[in-house]
Amino acid sequence: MNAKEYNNLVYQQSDGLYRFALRLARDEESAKDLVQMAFEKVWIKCEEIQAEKGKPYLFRTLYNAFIDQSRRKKHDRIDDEYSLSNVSQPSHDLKEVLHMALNQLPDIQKSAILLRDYEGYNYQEIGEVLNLSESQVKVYIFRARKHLQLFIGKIEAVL
Amino acid sequence: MMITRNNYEAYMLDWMEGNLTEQQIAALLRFLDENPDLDATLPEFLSLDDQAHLSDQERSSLFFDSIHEGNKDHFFTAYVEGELTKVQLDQLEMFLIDHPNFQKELDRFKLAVLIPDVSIIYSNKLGLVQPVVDLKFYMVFLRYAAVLVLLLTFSYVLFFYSDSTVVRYSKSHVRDLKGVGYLQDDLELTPLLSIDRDEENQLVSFPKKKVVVGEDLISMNEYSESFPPVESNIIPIPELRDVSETNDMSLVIEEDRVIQEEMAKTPPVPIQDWALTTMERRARLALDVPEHVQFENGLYTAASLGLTAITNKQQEIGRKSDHFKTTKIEFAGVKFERIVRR
Repeated sequence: MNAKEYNNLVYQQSDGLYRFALRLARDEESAKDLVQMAFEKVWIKCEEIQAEKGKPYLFRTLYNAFIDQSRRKKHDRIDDEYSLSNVSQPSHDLKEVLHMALNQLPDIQKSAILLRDYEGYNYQEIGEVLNLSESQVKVYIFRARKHLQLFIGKIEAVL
Repeated sequence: MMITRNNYEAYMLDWMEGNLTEQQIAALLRFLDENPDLDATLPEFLSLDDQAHLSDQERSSLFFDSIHEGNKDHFFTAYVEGELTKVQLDQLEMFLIDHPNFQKELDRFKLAVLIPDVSIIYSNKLGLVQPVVDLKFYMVFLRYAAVLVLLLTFSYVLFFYSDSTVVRYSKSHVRDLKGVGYLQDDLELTPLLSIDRDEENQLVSFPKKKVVVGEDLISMNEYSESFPPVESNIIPIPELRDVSETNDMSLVIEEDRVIQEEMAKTPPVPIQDWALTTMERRARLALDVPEHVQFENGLYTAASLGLTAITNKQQEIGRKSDHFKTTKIEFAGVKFERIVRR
């Protein structure tokens, strides 16, 4: 990847990467730091990275950086159980409801479903980013999808 | 890949679907032994109890060849993911017709899709981009620059190192210009007088200027039309034009060929007011003959002409960058400056 291809990657992927980072980190400054860190790592290794592999490399780098960051902060949200106790005010807005449900997912499931819905990756591509097999990706997405659906059902029940 | 607490459930799913090798199944069972605290909601068939068995409903949920209540979530999710085949889609449709109460659940699955908020953008893109050197443009630029450098170098060499000699003459006031002579830039030169004998074997002399220039012996004859007149068999000094008052020394560069042609004519063209110099170019000088020129025996002698030895002043002048060699020569009050580029 040369400098021109790298710059194209910046313009094409930085927004999507930032949205992904924002959903993971749930904090603008942390998300920006993650984006910056990911692009820096890609730039450092740009000669070793093929242009067409730039996007998955970016997302993988960011995801790994987020996991490292989370472990350092001991922010462990691995929890398969959804709960309405975190919902202070049930919302009519589907987007907000989905985001609430998303925030309750384990990082691995959240990442998988974000990459699926936000970036349109297939299972194999998601597996490359998250270092999972295709079937493992499928499992996590299925579980995440089910969680979101159940959360919507519960909100509707409350409303 | 190692089985961990984060991915064991995926391994179990693969096991259920028959996708694990014997070694992987053994590894999974070892893992479950080592982690007895894992999810208590695991179906009983995954426990190590040989007496455990699945209920019919539980068992049915493991089969995905057709849709039913036990595995509808899988089919609903697969429908949202776009993973169902045509046959499975038809099965789903039939299932919903038979179980309309599950339509709402499917609708919720359809809603469980995240849509990116495109209004969220990363504002500091310029902070991430790197400077790009357009190699294509750079190579074209280099090519033209190289040609330009070559041209400039060639021109410099041609201009500064050519054999051409810049001859520049500086004028001083013409004073006591007694005659003409040949100047040779690197030799001390004294005009000569030829002494000869006439038919009566009388010594006569007539001013014949001679000089050796390289391998050439150059001489200038003087003719009867010259002024002042001398004895007939003496070729007088050429007529000279007085230019001293105006200090206007006319200097004309004549081609050697022209001068030779003039001298070769019959009768030879009177040498009026031109002299020959050998400073790379032959020059015509307007000379002045002062009144006090003395005659000795009616002849112009070197002494009477006042011709003095020419002191060649070779002086190297110039700025190093110019690489000039300047030779200053003074002859009979006339200064000549010859500049040669190195």
